[in-house]
Amino acid sequence: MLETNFSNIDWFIVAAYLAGTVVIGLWVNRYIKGMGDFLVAGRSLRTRLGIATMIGSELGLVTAMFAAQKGFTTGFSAFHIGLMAGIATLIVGVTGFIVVPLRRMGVMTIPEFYEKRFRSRSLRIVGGFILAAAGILNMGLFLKAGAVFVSGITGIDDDAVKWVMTVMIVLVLFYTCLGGMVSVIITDYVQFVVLSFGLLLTCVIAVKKIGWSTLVNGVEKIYSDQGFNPLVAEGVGGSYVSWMFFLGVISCAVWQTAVMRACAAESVAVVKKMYLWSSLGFMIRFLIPQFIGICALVYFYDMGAVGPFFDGQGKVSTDPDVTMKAMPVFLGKLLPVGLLGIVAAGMIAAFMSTHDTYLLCWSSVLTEDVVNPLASKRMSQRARIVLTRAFLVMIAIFLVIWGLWYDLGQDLWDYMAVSGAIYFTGAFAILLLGLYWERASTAGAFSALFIGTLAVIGLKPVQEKLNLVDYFQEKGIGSHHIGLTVSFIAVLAMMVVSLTIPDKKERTENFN
Amino acid sequence: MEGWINFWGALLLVTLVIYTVLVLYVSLGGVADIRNMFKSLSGNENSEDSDSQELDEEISES
Repeated sequence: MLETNFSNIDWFIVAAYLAGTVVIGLWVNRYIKGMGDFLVAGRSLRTRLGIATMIGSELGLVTAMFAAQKGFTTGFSAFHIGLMAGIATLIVGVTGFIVVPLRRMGVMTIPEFYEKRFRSRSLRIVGGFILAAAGILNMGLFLKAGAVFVSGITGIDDDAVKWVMTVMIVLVLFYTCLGGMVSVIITDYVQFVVLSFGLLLTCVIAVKKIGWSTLVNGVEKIYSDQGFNPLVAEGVGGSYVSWMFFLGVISCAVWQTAVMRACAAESVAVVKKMYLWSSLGFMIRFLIPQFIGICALVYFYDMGAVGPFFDGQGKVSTDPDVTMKAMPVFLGKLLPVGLLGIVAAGMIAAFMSTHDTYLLCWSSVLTEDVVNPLASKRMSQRARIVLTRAFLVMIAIFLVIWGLWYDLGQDLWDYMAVSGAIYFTGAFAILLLGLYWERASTAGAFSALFIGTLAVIGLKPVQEKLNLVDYFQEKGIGSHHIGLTVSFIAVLAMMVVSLTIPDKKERTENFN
Repeated sequence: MEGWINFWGALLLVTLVIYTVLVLYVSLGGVADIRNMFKSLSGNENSEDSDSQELDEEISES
């Protein structure tokens, strides 16, 4: 059942790609002269490369895995996630909401904005710590998702997968430590090209093999109405769709990795263009993998509702670890030799490009926003680069350990949304009010940050520890309800606290 | 339900077509942008970013 078409030719294609990334790391190192080059590529990013790197880092293997899983578990209804993300990014691109004022201020990280706007170093340090902690937790399962993909598409056993994943993470560390943002941008570009062509071709082959009407009929048989209408689908509904729209805004305008791209842009005009075009990418990064997930669903159903993806009664498995495997196993059976290697190389490239972006992002936040501001004397550029590289290694070690023992308990996408919410619920309030409301104060910003951490209650293991699982199930409260509520309370709290405890000093800059 | 099926089908088709054009445009144009980026980076003698340096000094003085 788990046998795939993966051959030696496909392994050769993957190995050639991995070797290429090492060469890139060595080659671009010569261009890194300072922290600005290392973190934001000297702010020299132009539109087309900006679009490639923005989509490249967001269209990662993990995104593909959780999006395909959603397609497998909810059918066409899952498409609303991509649609909401695309609309949200388009609105940000047209209005310049949050990202344009941030680019104008010339900040490199969001906690740096906290300090510039509120003139509070403590806020920057606390904000930086929460951001990095939530971000590292958020990427905690990237390695697990990568391992599931590699074992699913190649058919190799779990022990071998661990070695492959370790080699990949070492390679990512190698070229990211050497080339910083410059090598991240180049590898993102290569990944964007390889993966985009691979996925587009996969869609064509899948439709040709299964047929559109078979797909529609299959989803109808398995999920009936719920497989098409997100407003009536189980576990989805109106509030979930609203949560997806909010996440769409967050992932392009508040999430640090996207903001880093905006800050690396050559000008404000480039930022807007990048977002306008990337809206398509933000939609497609969900749509294509979800569609492949739907194809996998119908393919395995038509094979006789085979296990482990279906239970004895022909119902879709409820085990997240199993449903996550459906897409790679399907690809391994669908694609011919050669193309399978290209798609696998593209996906592994996606895995690496997501890792390099996130590793660089969170390690630079720890250096720039936590350690450097805490140091009694301003650290030299060289010391900051060395420290960022040390954090890169430490985070990678954490990922290996966390990825192996954490029990998922919910869809990967929901885990990622909730773990990210620990940071972004507070950050959204601070960015929104800090940029567009003169009276926002430091005390208000602190309150938003602390309230935002309550979003951790959305994680299943935390609910189990607090004995809240039964209560939430009885009341029909999902992680999206918790996320939306916490976001709303954070904004409200920041407004109330800002009015009751205003800042003493007058602002000297106009941040609007 | 028919409405949803047509809507998702049309969305998928239109998005795939536009995305194909975008991939071609970015793939070809990106090479020129990479060249420009390296040219720009070669010209940077000292690329210390603002990184709130002035503010850092201001705050540490006060």
